[in-house]
Amino acid sequence: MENRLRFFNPQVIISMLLMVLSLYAYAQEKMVISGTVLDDTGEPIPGVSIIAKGTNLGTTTDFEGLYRLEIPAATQTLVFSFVGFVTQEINIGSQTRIDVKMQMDIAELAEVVVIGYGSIEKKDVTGAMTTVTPKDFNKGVMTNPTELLQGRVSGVNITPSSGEPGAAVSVNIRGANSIRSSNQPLYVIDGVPLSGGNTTEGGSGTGDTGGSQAKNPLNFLNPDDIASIDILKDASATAIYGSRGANGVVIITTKRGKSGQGNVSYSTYVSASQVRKKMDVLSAIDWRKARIGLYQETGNDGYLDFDFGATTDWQDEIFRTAITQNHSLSFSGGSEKGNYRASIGYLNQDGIVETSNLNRYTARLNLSQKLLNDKLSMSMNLTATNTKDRTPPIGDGGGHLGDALVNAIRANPTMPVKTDDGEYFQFATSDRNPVAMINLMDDRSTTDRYLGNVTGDLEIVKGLHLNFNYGLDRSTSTRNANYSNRLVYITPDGQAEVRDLYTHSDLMEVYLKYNTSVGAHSFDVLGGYAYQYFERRGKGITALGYTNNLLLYTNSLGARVSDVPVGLYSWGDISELQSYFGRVNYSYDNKYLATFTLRADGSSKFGPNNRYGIFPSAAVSWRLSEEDFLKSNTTVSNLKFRLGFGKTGNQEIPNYAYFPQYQAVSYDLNGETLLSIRTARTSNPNLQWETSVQYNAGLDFGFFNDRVEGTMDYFYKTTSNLLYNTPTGGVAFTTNFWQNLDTEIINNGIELAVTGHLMTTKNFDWSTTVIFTKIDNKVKGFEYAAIQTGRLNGPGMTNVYIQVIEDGAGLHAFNLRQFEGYDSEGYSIYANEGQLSLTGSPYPDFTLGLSNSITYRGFDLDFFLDSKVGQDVYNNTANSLINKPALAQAKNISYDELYAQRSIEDGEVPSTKYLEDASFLRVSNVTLGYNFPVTGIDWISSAKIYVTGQNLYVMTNYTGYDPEVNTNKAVGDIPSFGIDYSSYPRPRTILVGMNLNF
Amino acid sequence: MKTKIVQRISSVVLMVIIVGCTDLSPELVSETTGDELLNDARARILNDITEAEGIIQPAYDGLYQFLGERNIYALTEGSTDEMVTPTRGTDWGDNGIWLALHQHKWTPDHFIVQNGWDDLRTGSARAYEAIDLLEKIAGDDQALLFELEPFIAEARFLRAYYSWHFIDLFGQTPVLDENLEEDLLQRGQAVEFVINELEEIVPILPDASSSTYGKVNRQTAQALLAKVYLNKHIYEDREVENSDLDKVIGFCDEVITSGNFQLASDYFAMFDQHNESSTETLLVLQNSGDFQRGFQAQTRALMTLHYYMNAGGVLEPWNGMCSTEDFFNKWDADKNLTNGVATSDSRFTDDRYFPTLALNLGFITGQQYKVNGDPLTDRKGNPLIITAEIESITQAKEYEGARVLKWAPDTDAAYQSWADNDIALLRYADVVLMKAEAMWRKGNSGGAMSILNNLRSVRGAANLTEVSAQTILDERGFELYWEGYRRTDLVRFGQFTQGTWFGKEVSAETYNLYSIPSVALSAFRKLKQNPGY
Repeated sequence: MENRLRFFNPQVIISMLLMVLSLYAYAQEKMVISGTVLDDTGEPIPGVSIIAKGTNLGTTTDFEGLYRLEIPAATQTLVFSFVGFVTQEINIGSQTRIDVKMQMDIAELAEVVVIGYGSIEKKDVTGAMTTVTPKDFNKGVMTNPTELLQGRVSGVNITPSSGEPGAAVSVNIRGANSIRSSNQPLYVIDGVPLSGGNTTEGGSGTGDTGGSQAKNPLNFLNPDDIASIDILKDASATAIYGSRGANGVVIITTKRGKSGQGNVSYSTYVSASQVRKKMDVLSAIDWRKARIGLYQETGNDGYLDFDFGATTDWQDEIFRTAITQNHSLSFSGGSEKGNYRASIGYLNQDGIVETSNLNRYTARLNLSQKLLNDKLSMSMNLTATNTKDRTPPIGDGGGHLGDALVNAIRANPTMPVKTDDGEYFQFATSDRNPVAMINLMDDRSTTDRYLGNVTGDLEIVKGLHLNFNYGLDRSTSTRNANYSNRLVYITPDGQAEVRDLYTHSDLMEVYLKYNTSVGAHSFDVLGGYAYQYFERRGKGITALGYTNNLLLYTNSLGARVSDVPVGLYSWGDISELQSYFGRVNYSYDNKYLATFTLRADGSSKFGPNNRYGIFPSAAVSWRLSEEDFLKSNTTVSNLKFRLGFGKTGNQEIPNYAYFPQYQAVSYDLNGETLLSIRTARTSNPNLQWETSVQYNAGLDFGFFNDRVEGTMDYFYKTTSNLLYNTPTGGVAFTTNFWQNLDTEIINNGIELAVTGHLMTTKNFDWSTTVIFTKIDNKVKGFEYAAIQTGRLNGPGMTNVYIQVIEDGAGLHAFNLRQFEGYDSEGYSIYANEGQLSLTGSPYPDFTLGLSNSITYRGFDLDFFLDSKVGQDVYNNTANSLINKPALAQAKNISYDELYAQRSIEDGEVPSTKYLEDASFLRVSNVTLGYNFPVTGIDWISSAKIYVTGQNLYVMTNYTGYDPEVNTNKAVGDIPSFGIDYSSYPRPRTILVGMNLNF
Repeated sequence: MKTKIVQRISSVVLMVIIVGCTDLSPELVSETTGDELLNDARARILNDITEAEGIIQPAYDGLYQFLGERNIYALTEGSTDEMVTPTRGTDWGDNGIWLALHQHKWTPDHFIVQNGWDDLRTGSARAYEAIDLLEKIAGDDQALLFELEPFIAEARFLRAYYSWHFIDLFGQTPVLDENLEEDLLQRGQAVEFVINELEEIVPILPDASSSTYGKVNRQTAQALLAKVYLNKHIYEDREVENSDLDKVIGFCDEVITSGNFQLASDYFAMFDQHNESSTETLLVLQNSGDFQRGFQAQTRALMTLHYYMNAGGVLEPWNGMCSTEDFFNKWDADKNLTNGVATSDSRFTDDRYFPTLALNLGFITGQQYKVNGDPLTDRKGNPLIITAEIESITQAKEYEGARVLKWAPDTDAAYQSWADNDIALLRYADVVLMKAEAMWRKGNSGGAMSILNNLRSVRGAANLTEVSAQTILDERGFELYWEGYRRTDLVRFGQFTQGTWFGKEVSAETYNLYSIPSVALSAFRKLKQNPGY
């Protein structure tokens, strides 16, 4: 009976009929279809099933994603299917080659995320972390990995110091946790934690232009080589990096070859950038009129002077349309036994200020091989980069004379750039010609950096693996700065500076991993040892007295005429870190997950009394959606609750801070050299780790088959034992000494990221992601006099500090006079007789990001809006430059100031007048791409062209160049935040690019 | 079998960990331990005792903190009638620090008060450190210690000099105890400490005739003793006593009768670039225009001159400090002074550099000129005519306020901020004036008058016909203006808080002492804020 039924099953009958038919067809006419199946990143997919629709005829792709299928000529449609991907039906038509690109099926995707010393499936994560892959990276001109993430990750505040190519970037994960300079996260690249220090020297600020920060040390990584960036945010995730995890951990994983077909990939772009906005200062004609107006008002004919007759827009003179080109070429491939990927990259990025440039060559080689019957797998990652920067004389501050940008804003617009005889017009040492400054100063750095590591994984018995990782990181850098003899303010004669920096770190790690399952219990255990060695050395020369007009004095340092001794320095320091770490991941029945970590770190930075710090963490999570009561629920597809606790540390202080240090010092007295000894540091053998304790509660959710998915976290983080170079008060051999303060910095906040897959049809796909972050920050129990920071610059602003760190306030609160307008005579009025009071914060109330990704047939459109709300920026530029009294001194001012009811004698006092709401909404990134249909071309597997606009539009009331700005106004080692002074503007960029895969 | 393999491999791993272990004491690169340096210094000193000069040089170096315009110097002059730094439009606002200083409205957070405190404690620490180093170098070697005593005495003098400034400016005086731990002396205790120290070292220090220029000698210590005794009643908050005054006269006489010093015949030569041969120098900070040592010495010229009074483009002056009109008018009540007329007092003005630099020395008012003789204009294009009058301290014009150029600019210096002018911190004329004052305070007006008139005649000024508190105070002003003595003198004559002058009303007695800086209070808990703040 059953057999009969089976026999008469319509499906069976139909199949048999089809078989007959196809045999018939085969007998009559056959055709061969072949092609490649790739995933959406262009990588081949082996094992994809291909069936001629309506037949049983089919095949699967090989390791290179290739297939070949013989089918009856009458077949009209092929069906491509593979686990984890959306099934596709392709109309054959007259094609004989059909290449298919499979789209991942988001509902089934088992994402793997990288955690320290391993990786796990995303569903098993217990801590708070975010993974960003290339499809979510910011597009456009990207000089380093931090730019890829700006605005994209909740809880991560990325603020570039300026718009200069490769400029330093401030990255705060879950708020600023320290009163010192080191609020930056730990970067781990393919398993090698970086030392975190700069790899180039900053600018020295010769000629009162203000020093400048060193460039971003991550500039050495080619963004095209990055496969994913994992950001570990809460302490339960970062505690495996113990001592260095307090500010979060950013794990960068580079691309590797995949087994299967070899791939050659070439990508390129060309971009044009311009300044998005100019300061609205008077034109030469209006400036002349305004000066005549002053003469008419006062009868003082002196106001008719200083008209040099020219018409110069100094901002136009120093800004340019900057062209950037980028090329990346890679080839990769592999077998079941191993893989390789090699890439080279070239970036030549002009800055929008004349002469500024970043030129970079990168090379990378990643290899893996399995040996000993697959028991041992070895990998190697190696990258080498050469970066050349040329920096214009735009610094962080400088005195009243100012840098090139300061002078471009305020220079008298009737001055000519050059005189009739072709020399730069330099009216006085105090009225500088910014074009002369830029062209007669040559400041270049060359940095070579090598980062490499070799890892091995040996399976000793099933489930037990021995791992090792040996890494090294070397960089050498030289900065050559030349200040021409022809600049009138460079006296006496031309000057040259050479500054070398060498950094070196070694890493050695050995660890054992064991995983096993007993019934529904599964364990993943890790234990190991790590040693890191850090060395930094520097040396430099300052020489003056160059009388020739050849600008590159550093090429012939000896050719000088001066009695002034050459300035020389050299320094070096070494530190070591030794750690023992362990972790247990436990899961029961895929529902209940727990992670425990413990790391003991010993650092040479601390004295014998407290050299080791113990950093534990624990986290649990519960996958509610795996419970029976939710498993069959069609609304809730994923629901996971996470709870975590952990303690992490911070040791970013100078080496040997615990150690009494003596220095040999020398004094020149009337040409005689005297030798002496100085105590350079007071010892504190009890110095210990700054520690952060963080609690985290999180929820991961997915609804409607993960059509709406997201993550929500709340954290509460307390940093205590703050390391602070405390001032001494009485007589003491050193003015400061390092100690741990009994003070707490508390950061708490909410992070939210929600993604909606609004449309997922065959031809039209639209997903959108919203991220939201809100962080509060407070200093508690600080029993010392308020720490002053945020040093302003400009005329009448010597030693003026406007930010304080004090008990009960948020970090970097502004401390200012309250501006109340002008009196009847045009003088500023301040509340409470000009008493200073705490007002405003440089940190946003909340940040929002909105990204959209739309695919329609071959087209894709990405756009990203970025917004920060409620932060204040102090506009030091407006305060010290663009003000009415400057007009009387024959300097330029803005139209707003010209029309203000303000006296030209009114003092330039720092006040809330210049504390501006820097809330903004930025159209930060828009990319439109088109994927060419390449089916039928057998030598190419994908081709895409795209257009990207960066920083297209900013909605803000902030009057400076850009509301996202952070000029370094640190006082000593206490950083400032949210002050804008002559900051290199962030450009608007249009870019055309192409990606090809072969 | 498997267990064995696991054991073997685990033991390899353990070995790697143990071998890899470090004691976390990496090599020192640019740092050294104190012992190495001390041994090296000891060897050098045994070879040549004058190497000890190097060891105490850091203590001398602390004196450079008396130079800067935002340091101790501002505390001693900027709050008096001799010097005012008005806000000029966008310039010199500096968050109100200059106005607060001049108007006696400073707070514990005042930038210059903080700076001055830090400079003094740094100088004092360098002196303590020098003494400690020399004692450590000598160790148990009594013979060496004996040879080092004069050098130690120099450092002890410098420690007393810094401590006296604490006493004078702040009252409470931070010190180090015998274990080199931070300690604090109240004002009275500190006076006792300073006097004891100075009296102990007087016999150890060499007579000026046998000491090197620039080094502390016996007379330097005696001059400071006279100064401390002259002000002792202020520090002890009591009336002056004859016993103090006898001490003042005694120490002054020691200096005067030593025969090593005499009043200079050329007043401005004492402040010139090449003033090493001055016959009045008791304590000096040495500068050089060729080496970094001279760093900032040009400040004394730059801080006062108008931007365009640049000595033919050599200087980039700052247009800051000037005299109050009240002090300017003391020279001649008729107010008909312009450059170099209406007073015969050689201390008022001098034109030796006018032909080359277009700058007069002393008090500068009136039309200013370029080196080529053309009249200068200001930044607004008006003729640059310096006026003694300042209309508003908060909204001064760029040409207002008489300029005071006491230290001639060094136009040969390698950098425009460097200069060769040595700056005297204790000067013989002060000793003479202290003696006259002590005599007058003891009731000997005649003796006082003859000393004053002797000084005045050397300076080309007319004789006084009577001596009063005011004439003595005024004479000190005429002789010592802008040299850092004014505040102490005004306090002693009861005029610092009670007096009024341009921009300054009567202020509370509180301001006779500066406030203890907040940072110091919170860092060193033995300190208590001075009363009234």
